[in-house]
Amino acid sequence: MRTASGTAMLGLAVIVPLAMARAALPSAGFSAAQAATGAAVATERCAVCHGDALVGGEHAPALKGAAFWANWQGKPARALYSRIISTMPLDDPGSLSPEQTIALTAYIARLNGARDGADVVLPDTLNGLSLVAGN
Amino acid sequence: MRAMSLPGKSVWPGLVFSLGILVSTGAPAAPVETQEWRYYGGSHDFDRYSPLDLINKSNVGELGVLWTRPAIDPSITAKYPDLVPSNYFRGTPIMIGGTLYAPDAVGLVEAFDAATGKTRWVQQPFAPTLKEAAGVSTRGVDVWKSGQDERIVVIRGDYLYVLNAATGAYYPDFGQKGRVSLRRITRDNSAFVGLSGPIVVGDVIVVSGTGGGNGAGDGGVKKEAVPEDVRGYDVRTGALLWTFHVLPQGGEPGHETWPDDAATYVGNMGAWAPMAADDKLGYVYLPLTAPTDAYFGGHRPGDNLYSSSLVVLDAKTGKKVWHYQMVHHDLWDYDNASPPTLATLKVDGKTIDAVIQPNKTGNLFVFDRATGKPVWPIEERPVPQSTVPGEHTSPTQPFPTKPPPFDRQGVTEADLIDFTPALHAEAKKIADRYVLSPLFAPALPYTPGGKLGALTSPDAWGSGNWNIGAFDPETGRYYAVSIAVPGSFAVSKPKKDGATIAYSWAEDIVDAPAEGPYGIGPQGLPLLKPPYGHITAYDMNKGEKLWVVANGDGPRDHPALKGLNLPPLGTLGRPVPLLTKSLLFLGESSDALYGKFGVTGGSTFRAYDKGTGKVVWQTKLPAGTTGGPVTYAVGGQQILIVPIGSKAHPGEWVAMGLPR
Repeated sequence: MRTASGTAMLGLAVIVPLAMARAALPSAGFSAAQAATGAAVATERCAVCHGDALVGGEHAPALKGAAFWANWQGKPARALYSRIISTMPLDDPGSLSPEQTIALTAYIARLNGARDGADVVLPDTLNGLSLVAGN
Repeated sequence: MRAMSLPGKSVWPGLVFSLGILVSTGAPAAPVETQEWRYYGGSHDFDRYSPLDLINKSNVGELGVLWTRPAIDPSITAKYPDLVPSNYFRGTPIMIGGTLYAPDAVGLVEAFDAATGKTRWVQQPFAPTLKEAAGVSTRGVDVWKSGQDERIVVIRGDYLYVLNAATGAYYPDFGQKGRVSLRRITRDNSAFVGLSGPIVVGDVIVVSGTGGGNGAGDGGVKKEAVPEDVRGYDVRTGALLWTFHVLPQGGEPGHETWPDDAATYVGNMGAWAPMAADDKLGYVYLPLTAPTDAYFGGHRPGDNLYSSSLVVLDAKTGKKVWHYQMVHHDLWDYDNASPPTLATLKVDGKTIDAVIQPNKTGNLFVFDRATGKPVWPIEERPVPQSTVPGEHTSPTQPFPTKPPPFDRQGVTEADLIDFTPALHAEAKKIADRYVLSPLFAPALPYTPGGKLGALTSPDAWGSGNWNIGAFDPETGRYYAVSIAVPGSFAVSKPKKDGATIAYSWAEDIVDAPAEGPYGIGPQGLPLLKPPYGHITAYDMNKGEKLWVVANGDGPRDHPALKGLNLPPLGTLGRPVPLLTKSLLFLGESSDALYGKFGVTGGSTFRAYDKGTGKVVWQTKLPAGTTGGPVTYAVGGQQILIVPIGSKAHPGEWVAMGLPR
């Protein structure tokens, strides 16, 4: 049995500033355009292992739904950025630029329910955003 | 006598003697001051065995954590705050002269004091950038020595490096300014990936890898890839000395096993599992794997050498000495996914220097390692033929007459769980969706509404994998650590854009039974009877199975099994065995590993009586094991060290020993 696909969404997810993470979830996130750039990077660099639309593959976990939240719930978006830029893709870690990695972070966040937001230019901005699954 | 045989296996006999390995089976042994662990399989024999017995049945209960060490030295993470390594931490140390050398969580070599864990040096990124610091952990390093010149050899990402063993410094005259690019031309310009590390035979570094482009070739929709050739490099200069074609080119023997033009586009087949070497013969043993695509071979008629074969090369020249193919025309991804183990056996009164090669199927193949002659006959037996249009199934497959397989092969109704009549009935209902099939039953062409596939065992991940195997040179026993998971094989016409293959792994199956942590099965339980994760002990002098024990509880506490008082059923995972004079140490693997294996696993780490398979001690580690436990002695103390990590716990090394 090979794939870990078929994971279910836990519910709407949003990206919120860390300071507000425990309060009501305000609308914050990434732009659709930046996420679209990330989607293109994902197709080229990630899908071979993580599957189309990052639903998981034989050798890599899903980056969508329950499997994603099991690893990333409550963590700063910077942690996801850091993990990607320092270990991915598995066959060529270090080959993604900061811009590509921010876009990938945006794509993964929106794939998991993050709302509209502005383009993120600097990795440091990701320190203030928390990955939180909505209810 | 193990200690006296060590120098013969070592490239540096003088060093081994000078370290005072004093183990004897005859006269009373002098105290063991120092015992090394020179390769991450123990030695190039890859037996994962140490003759140490300072930790033994009588005192293992006192074993405790001596120290831990983070999977990456804080001096590196301080420089690169975005370095957040994966918790799948493979780095298994070697111990030489009181120093441990291991790849860290991003594949940089770290050297640390074997007694205290204190840093001696850390390999610096080749350039001071995050790009160069980024990486993944690899399983191990090797060492080369000539006179006072001692070097640590490591593969990291796309490059091969040698480092000064005393300082960690690069050699500017090695390769291009200190490193050799391993990148080769592939159709998708993919990077080189070799996570099992290099092996050094004489003055030659042998390098093998995983890929060949398009992932590992086991799930794509393209028939095109590049063969992952094995290469030999000069340890002093980094010069490429030879290339062995895992897919024989025109004019080379074996090319005829690729009729038509298949040899021009098929790839993969790399030795991604660890290699072994006979330093005396100068031979390297390559466990090769499946071709592109792993589940459909209509575009590659023939036996397809050297896919899923054991190939033996003269490491000096790269010339093939002998080979044996474990799976003809592989349609199941039944790789030789395990390191070969070199073992000296006594069969019918005759001493044989043998090689043991496990295969994902659960078969153990045993040969004279110099000649390739099977120690026991291997029979070609007829196997089921494919009904997929255009497929070319091999009419027969090889089956060793001895020893018996270490895991279940094929699935019949008698294999379905029968913990209770109700569970058996549920299992039967699930099984009826499939065609229960023997080993080597090829994939079924999937059609909606029909049977879901050929259900056999093992699945494509295999029962034995990179973690299997430890051999005891004193008793001639081999220990296979494996898991029993059935798998359904079905193919359909690919729906993805850009497909160049007529059939591929069926991704379009609808309404398949739900999968739990054990795959398909009733209420999240396994479909088939236990044991699941288990140890099989063999007398390899006779080629016979001695006993089988489950490793870990497995699903015994599942609510549907309440009140049945079941014994341990075995946990799924890829734990690595460590064998000592009297004990067999084994964890339960980790959920940080790929695939579902380890999902059910915990962090229990056990010592078994290696004679009987009885658990004599167990403890809980902070997380499950992600690499091999190894052991050594320094300053008269025996220490065990193991890499651990889990989804919830960052990687680290845990060193254990007796209180002093």
